[in-house]
Amino acid sequence: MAKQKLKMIVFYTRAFLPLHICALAMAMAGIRALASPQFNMPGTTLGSLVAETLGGHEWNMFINIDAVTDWLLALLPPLTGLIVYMRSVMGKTLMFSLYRHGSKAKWMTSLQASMLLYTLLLTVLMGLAITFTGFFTGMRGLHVFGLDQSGFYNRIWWPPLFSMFTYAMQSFMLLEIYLFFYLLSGEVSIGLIAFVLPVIFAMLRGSNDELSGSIEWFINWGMSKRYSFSSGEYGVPVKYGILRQVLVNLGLLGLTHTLIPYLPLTERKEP
Amino acid sequence: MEVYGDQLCQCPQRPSDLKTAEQERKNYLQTKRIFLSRGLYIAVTLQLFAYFYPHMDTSMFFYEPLKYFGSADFLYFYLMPRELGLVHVLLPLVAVLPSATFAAEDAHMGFLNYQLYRSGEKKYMRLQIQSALLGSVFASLAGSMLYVAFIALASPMSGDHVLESWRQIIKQSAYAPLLYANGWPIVLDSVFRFALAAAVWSMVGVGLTALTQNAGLGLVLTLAIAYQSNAVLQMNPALIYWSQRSLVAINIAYIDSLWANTIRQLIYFLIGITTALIGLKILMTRR
Repeated sequence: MAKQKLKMIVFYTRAFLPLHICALAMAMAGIRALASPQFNMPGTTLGSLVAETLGGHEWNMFINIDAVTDWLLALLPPLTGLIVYMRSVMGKTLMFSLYRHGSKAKWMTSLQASMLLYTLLLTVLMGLAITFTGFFTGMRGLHVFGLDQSGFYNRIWWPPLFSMFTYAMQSFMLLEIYLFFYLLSGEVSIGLIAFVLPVIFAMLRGSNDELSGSIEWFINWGMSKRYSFSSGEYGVPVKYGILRQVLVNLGLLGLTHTLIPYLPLTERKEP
Repeated sequence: MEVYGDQLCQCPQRPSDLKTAEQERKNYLQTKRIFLSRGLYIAVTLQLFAYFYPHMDTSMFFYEPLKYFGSADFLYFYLMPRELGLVHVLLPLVAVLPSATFAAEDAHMGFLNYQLYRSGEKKYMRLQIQSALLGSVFASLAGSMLYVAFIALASPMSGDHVLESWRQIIKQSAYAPLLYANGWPIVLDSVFRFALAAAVWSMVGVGLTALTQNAGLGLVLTLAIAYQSNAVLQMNPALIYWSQRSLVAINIAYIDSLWANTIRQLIYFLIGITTALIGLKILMTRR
């Protein structure tokens, strides 16, 4: 039974990731890496390119609108797969899918599980695209230069992987928000607005000098992401950041799961 | 008999009359489709939100809005959100939401073949482009005009509250010849530039939604292209004036020439129309 469920999740994840979505997301990530300020900095390694491109918005005391659109651009690729998949799911076959799963809640569980897998896989693909882009333009080394645990300036290997993980977490959180509003309204535009506006709002609020506590608030809870790899820098200590981001994701999963039985999925006309 | 004869005379008889009547009916139905779509009203709301957003920094805006908008002049309250607001960030959404996705929706719902059978390829393409332009320009103008009307009523045009420092900057900028009549020409010029930019993005939206045959995916790709092109053009000093931000939302002190900006926007418009035509043509050949 468990094996069959796992097989089903893998099947749905595969449906999330057709070849053209993989190519599109990788192209978007590669182009963004090429246009990033980090790309032209001397001494940039492949690791630091990945860590900077997927590791959050540029850090300034006052985040301007260009930084906001840049980070929004980074977050758009995972949305493409979900939009394409949901359109194919929400058609006439939804009733059969619900029947096969037994209930709306079970259907939602399998959808969320495959969405999580999809987000992680797509992040890896995007990381690979950025790495290849850097490699073909002459960058080398998967490490980042930084302070290690003993306080020496050294090569460290985990920041690129960590950036990719937190990127996947933030993407998953925003995809959950998109999914919730899409299922609630039945309209892609409403879902997209629900995806875009929190990012813009959180980043611009987070750099407001009149709301001094807001910087920590939005970073802490994963909406505006900038983790510090060592203490004393800007950002949030890693363990609290991850813990809170996972908590937010769990909360959103629970909320969608609780409300799904009340949403009129099959009663609504196809848009 | 005579009355019957008169009635007959009023009916369209010639084939050209019938064609015109049919075309007018199609235009009417398409316009009705735009104004009945939720996308249009969402777009107008988004545009209004984009203008009001930079004011939300201050608590006075929420508790004493009239006092807040009375604290400076009309021109300041337009130029401030023009530069610091979200108008140019949300513009691709405002442009695509009203009617740029109609062709993709027709294809998805299976109406495309019927539409093409009734009107032919060329007329269908023209109708899609017309409706996308009408929807995007209307949404952008309506949102902007509602905000302008509000600040025209709530903010003083002249007197002690006029911010002289802002006026000094305008006097040394490309907008100096338009600084009369309390700044209305500057406001209207800027509003029409936003509308033209919306028209450009609606054309790109038509092309991409038709190409992908998916309204949502086309919307996301339009947004991605808008942001990516802006970032790439802003990085290169030789091309910075071609970025969307420089064309419609940059600080007015940095505008090189209003005529040059108009020509750049018109070139983008031609690129947009070409994108729309290519996208629609591919949609026709794929069906």
